[in-house]
Formats: sequence, C-alpha cells, structure tokens
Amino acid sequence: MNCHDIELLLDQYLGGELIEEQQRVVEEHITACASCRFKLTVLEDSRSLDEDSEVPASFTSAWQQHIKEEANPVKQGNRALRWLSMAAVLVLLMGGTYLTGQQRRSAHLVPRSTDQASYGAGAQPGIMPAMEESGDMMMSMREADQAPKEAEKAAEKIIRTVRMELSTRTFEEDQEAIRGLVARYGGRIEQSQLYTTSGNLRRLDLTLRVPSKELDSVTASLKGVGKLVYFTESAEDISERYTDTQNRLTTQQTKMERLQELLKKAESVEDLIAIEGSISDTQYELDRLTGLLRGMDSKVDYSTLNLTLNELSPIETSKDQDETLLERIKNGMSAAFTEFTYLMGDLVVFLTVALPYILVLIILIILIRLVIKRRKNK
Amino acid sequence: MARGKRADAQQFMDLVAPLERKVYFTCLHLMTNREDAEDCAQDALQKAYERFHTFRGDSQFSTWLYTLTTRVCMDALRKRREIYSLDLLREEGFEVSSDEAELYLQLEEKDRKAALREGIKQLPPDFRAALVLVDLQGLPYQEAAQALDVPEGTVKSRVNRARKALYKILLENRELFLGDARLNDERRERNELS
Repeated sequence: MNCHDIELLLDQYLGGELIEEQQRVVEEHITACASCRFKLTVLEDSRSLDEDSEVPASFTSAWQQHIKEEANPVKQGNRALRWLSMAAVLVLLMGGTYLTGQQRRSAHLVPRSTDQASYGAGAQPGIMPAMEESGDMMMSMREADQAPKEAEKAAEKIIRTVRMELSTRTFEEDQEAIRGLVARYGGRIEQSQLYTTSGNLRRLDLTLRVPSKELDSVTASLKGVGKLVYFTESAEDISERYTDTQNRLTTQQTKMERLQELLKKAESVEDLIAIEGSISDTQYELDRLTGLLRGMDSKVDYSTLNLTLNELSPIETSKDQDETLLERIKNGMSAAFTEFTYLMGDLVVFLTVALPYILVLIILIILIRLVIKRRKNK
Repeated sequence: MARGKRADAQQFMDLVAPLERKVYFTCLHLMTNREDAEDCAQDALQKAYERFHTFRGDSQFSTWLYTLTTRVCMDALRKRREIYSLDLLREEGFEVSSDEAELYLQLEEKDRKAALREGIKQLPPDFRAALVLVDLQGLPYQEAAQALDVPEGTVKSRVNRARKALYKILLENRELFLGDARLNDERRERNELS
C-alpha cells in the first residue's frame, strides 16, 4: 500500500470503520510515513477543532429568548388585539365622520323649517330639536355678546357687505323662502334680476338691504336655504370718514350763520350779491355733506346682501341622456371629489369635536396598561 | 392554537439544544468572524423555528438544520463578495514532503489548531463549506451534499481539493502561523500578568 491508498482509508480509520487487518496496515504505515502522519493529524485536529471552545452564553440566551418571544401566546393575543383595536378605531372614525356628515346635511334643513314656523318651535324629529336648541343658545349668546358692544358701535360706523351664492333644486320654493325671510327681519329687496341660463335653468340675482343688527340672523337662515356655494363678508370701518364729514358740516353751518349775519348788515348792493352767492355755495355744500352722512348712515344701518340663487337641474337622470360618457365621468368625478372634500371636512370636524373624548380615552388606556403591567410584574 | 405553538417552541428548543454547538461552530468557520457567525446562526435558528412546521420526520433534524444553516451562511457569503485566490486549488501536483510534515508535527496541539483555524479561513467559500461540514462536523458525504445542495461527487472532490490546499497552506505558512500563535500566547500571558 502506498501513501495514496492510505490517504483514502484515513476517513474510515478515524471513524473506526476499518477491519482489523486494514487498521493494522494503516497504523504501520503512519508510524513510518511522516506525510501520512501529518495528514491524519490534520484530520484529527479538524474533528476536535472546537472541542475546547464554548458557545458564547450570550448567543444561547439570545436565540432562546427570540424563540420564546415568537411563541409567546400573550404576544399572539396582542397581535389580535392590535388588529381589533385598529378596526375599532377605523369604525369609530368612519361612524363619527358619517354622523358629522349627517348633522351637516340635516343642519341645512333646520332653517328651512323656520320658514314655516317660528324659530326653535320647529317640530323636527330626532336630534333636530336638540340641535336647534343649541342653535338658539348660540344665537342668544351672540346677542348677549353684542349688547355691550352696541354702545361702542354708536360711535363706530361700520358698513357690512355680504355676498353669497346658493344653489337649489327647489328654485321657486326657495325664492319665496328668501323673500319671506327678508321681510320678516325687516329688510327690503333693492334689486332683483331673474335670468334663464343655457341649460334652461334659472338664476336669481338679488340685492338686499337688511338691518345690520339682523344681518347675522339673516345669513344664518339663508345658509339653510339651498346649498351654500359661496360666501364672503366684508366690513368697512368708515368712522373716521364719518367724523370728518360731520366736522366739515359743522364748519359749513358756522360759516352759514356768519354769512347770514353779514347779510343783515349788508349795505351796498354789491355786498348783497357777493354774500348771497357765498350763501348759495355754502348751502349747496351743506346739502351735499348732509346727503353724504345720510347715505353713510343708511349703509351702516342697513347692510347690503348680494344674493345669487342658482337653480340646479331637478333630477340627475334627466341629464344622463344628453351627457356623453366623458361628461358623465367628469361630472361623476367632480361629484365624488365634492363628496370627498365634504367627507374630509366632516372627518376634521368630528376629530376636533371628539378631541377631548379621545384624549380622555388615551389617558384611560395608558392607565389601564400601566396597571396591567404592574400586576404582571408582581 | 397558542398552546400548540408553545409546545412546538419547547419541542424545537429541546431538539436544537444538542445541535446548538454544531450550528454555532459551522457558522463560525464558514463566516470566519464572530459577528457574522452569530448573526447567521441567529438567523438560521430563527428560520428553522419559523419553518419548523414544515419539518417532517423523514430526514434527520440535524441534517435539516445543517441545510438551513449552510444556506444562510452561503447566502451571506455571496453577499460579502470576497475574492479568493483559486491558485491554491489549481496546483494539482502538490505533495506533502516528509521533512515539512515532521516539522509541523513537532508543534503543540494548541498551535496546530490555531494554524488550522487560520488555514481554513483562507479557503474559498464553497470548498471551505465542504471541508467544514465533512471534516470538522463529521457529516457523511451524502448529508453534506444535501446541506450544500450539490451532488455527492462534487462534495467529495471539493473536500479532497480543500484538504490538499489546506495541507499546502499549513506547511508553507507554518512559520507564519507559528509566529501568530506564539504572538497570541505572549499577548495572553501579558494580559494575564497585567
């Protein structure tokens, strides 16, 4: 047997798998042959290479800990609980948003009922009376707020102008409602223009004058008539201008008195003519200033309300026949987008309204968790 | 369900306990450094636990575990993209000279093993894996082939070539390793003294 043959037997020799005869041959060869002894030594060393080494304890505890955590039923339960709570939060959000939307939708109807009956006495079912009550409360609070300010306002001259646009499917009904509303609050219609638009729909432009004190009540009620599309309010403080004009008026009045005295003392015809000319000039100025002041007073006492009422096509389906697919997609998308923005609005409103409850809930949950943890640690 | 899982975990840990050493040291020799080795061993045991339900009794648990471990390590090594010189394995005509062998055999076992550990690190991954599974872990060729996912013949040839390369490394760099081993000894002594 040469070295090559021996080498092939080394594995088995180490494994003790050789028959006695072969084993003896290998042993004899190894004692004599350094190269084969070297190879055997390397193999033996390889087998026992890690014998004296230890697995680091940190490694053992790490993987065991990991498996235990993975198998921990508490954690499994937690996972289910987590999904469940996530679902609950989702349901809460969706429900809250829907309810907020419901309130928004019904809020539109509330003032319409006031068209028929006196405020707050509307026989609306369900949550409506409560809502109206709160509306009333808010209204009276606002009035109470305004009362002390009224005194200051005597000196303050503010012109308030509101511009709003409403759209409706019940055009005639709402038109009547608006007229009734304006009359009830002691306002008047200054200008009224009725158009017919391309789609055979009507559009009403109204310029209303409403007592400034009632402006807020009127706009609040109007917001409930049809759907509010657009609303702006501006307030212009003309106090300074008003005082200036008043001062100029006083000056002119003094001048007038003096001129009249001069007239009495006049002796020559030239003087008379000159003074009378001045008097008529002054009178003209007096009239102009008084007119200005009156105009300002009127604008301050009666706010201008520019109102546009747009008629919407009564039923969506009647439109469908004329619409192309693209238009339908477009309309559908814009409708969806509008709904979406409303929905997001509702969500924000709901979250804001529910914020205190959410905070309390979070604190409660934290406390419960702390208690559970402490109990577990014991 | 949860209780079943817990029972599984206990069963798994009982099965792994005697093999933990093998998993750890296989990773250590394959990955050549402790950090990577621990990562891979962790990873392998974790994967094994995740797939424990797919383990059927038809193969030995140890073979199954070795297969997973080796795969994790080989994947990690592939990502490492180390370049190994294949010159070692190309030289077919290397023969162990008895003089050098004698000199090597005069070394203490501790020094020989230190040299061996260093020598294994120099082998290219595929060959190192075959050698580690067969010569270090004592796996039969057939099981090593299964773990490495190559035919048995390939494992045999890889082991043979890896051994040859290792002999060459050990003999030619004997003094180098010896120096290293001695240095390590000296360092250890100094640490113990201080």
